[in-house]
Amino acid sequence: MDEANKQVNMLQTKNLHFSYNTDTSFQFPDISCANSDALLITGSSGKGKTTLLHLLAGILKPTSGNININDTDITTLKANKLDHYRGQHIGMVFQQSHFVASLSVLDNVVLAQYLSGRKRNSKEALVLLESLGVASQKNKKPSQLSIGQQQRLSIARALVNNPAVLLADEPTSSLDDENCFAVARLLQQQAVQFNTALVIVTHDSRLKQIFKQSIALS
Amino acid sequence: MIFKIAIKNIFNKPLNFLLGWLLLTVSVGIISLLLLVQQQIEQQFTNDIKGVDMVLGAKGSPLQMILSAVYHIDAPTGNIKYAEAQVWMKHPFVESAIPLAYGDSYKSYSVLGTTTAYLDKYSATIKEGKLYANNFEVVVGSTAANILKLKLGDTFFGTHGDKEGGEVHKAHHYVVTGILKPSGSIIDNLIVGNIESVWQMHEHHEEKKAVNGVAVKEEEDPNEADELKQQEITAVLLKFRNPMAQIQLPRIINSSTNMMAAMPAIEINRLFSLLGIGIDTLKKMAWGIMILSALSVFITLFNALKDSKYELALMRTMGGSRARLMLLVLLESMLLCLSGFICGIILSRTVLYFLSKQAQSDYHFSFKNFTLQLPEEGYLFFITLAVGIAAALIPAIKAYRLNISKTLANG
Repeated sequence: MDEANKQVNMLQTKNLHFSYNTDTSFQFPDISCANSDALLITGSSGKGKTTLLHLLAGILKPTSGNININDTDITTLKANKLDHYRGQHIGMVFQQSHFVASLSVLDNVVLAQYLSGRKRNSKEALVLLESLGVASQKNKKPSQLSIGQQQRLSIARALVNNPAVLLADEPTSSLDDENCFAVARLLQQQAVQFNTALVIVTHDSRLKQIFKQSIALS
Repeated sequence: MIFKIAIKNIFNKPLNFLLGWLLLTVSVGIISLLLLVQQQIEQQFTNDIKGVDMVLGAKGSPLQMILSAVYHIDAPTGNIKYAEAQVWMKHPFVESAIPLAYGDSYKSYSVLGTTTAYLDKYSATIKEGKLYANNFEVVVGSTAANILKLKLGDTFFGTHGDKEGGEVHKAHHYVVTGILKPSGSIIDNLIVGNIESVWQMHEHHEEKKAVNGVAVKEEEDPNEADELKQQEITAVLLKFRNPMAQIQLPRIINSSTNMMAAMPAIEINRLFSLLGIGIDTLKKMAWGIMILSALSVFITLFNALKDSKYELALMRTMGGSRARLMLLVLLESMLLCLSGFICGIILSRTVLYFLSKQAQSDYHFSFKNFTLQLPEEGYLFFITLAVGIAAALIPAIKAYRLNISKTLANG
């Protein structure tokens, strides 16, 4: 237990810089986040919140700087290795829940196991769905779920591979207050349970009431 | 899993893929049907002329004579004098000659008067009963017996001509003494007896008949040999001993007698090349339909990609590599084409089954081979897969080069 609760920096960035073109470039402050911790990154639109999140996820390559996730500098990884690393160590939750529409709720979670290169284990996926309260919907299509259920499903999908880092992009922006706090607490709770570093980028100021650590982009 | 997603994606929006699948099924069906039909017609026709180097008959269209004397699917060109024919049947270049007298039928199945050499040529053997021994005794080919429901001991009247509804020869009736085993040749569709039966059948009204303007003697001749000389037959199937005969005999016969000689191999080749034009045209149409199907699958996939861009980007965030997503798009298309191929093959067999029934009643020709035609249908399979790949190529490349960041940000 001691081992698991030991706090280490799961995520650390240094001198991160990204430019789309000569007019649009971002210099990001160094950030770090330990396991079981949560970090809120706020800022109004156009400040590079999504860009930062995509950099952290390895979807974009920084112009310069380093990103260490679980002691691996992902900026040095080659395309296929990076895809693989992302699947195994990074979970993502988006503002609007998108799924593979033709697959069932359960298969969407199993898909995440499969794509990360792990063995498919529908029992494990089902346990996770159970803990998030959507197990009874497992055979439905994601589009048949309510928005709250969809958001819980996307959290299940993001966590199924026990990621080192959970990245959430505006996870609560489209939710009402009640659902907003429910999802925020759920994320926090799951981050602790899965020993994951949670990073949320948002302009939703309601979340500041829940998460203590926050960085504002300007 | 990728396989499962590909299948689920197709069935999630089946209507989108319906047109491409349908076009592919139809094009594969047509091509495969043409292959089956062409191959079996050619095989059957070539099989039936085995051992027949030349056909001797009355002047007219050589193709018509071959079609009637060898295949019994056309009317005879007329009659020739047996005595005149015998000059050539006994020619030193000729190894064997089988005289044929026909022109009558029973319910559109030809009644053929010939010698037992004819049965031997097609290696026909008796399944039940015995060979004909007397006049008006006949053996029946297996298919004809089946369809006409003729059994041993059955009797029937012949009809003049090869169509139903002709003048019925009521003077004598035929008796079935034997049923032949299936031989896979023309003989399955024939009723065979001796030549004398046919002669005797026509004795009483030969005057009226006067086939093709050939004057026929009226009074009975008491002299048997003389009578034989005057008798008529319809055609002779000859087999040569000497390749020289191929060149010499037809020329001599055609120029110096009032009979006609034709080489079945040449006539049938001519027929095939005529058929070939039609079949080639149909095949080109089928290939055209296949190109259309490729286009349809391409458009479907291209449009589907617009909707599924976000899904693909999502799969990338879950660790799916570019190659895997490309594979998914290719797989969708290839699965679609594969099912089109299988359904096309099934379609062609189904159509052939009904075509065979029709052909049996119209031409006494049946298609028996429903097996996979290799290597042609093997090629067709690979071409179909290639169509699948070609149709998916651009969408697959688009999936490969998808900008996930942009897609996610705009989603």
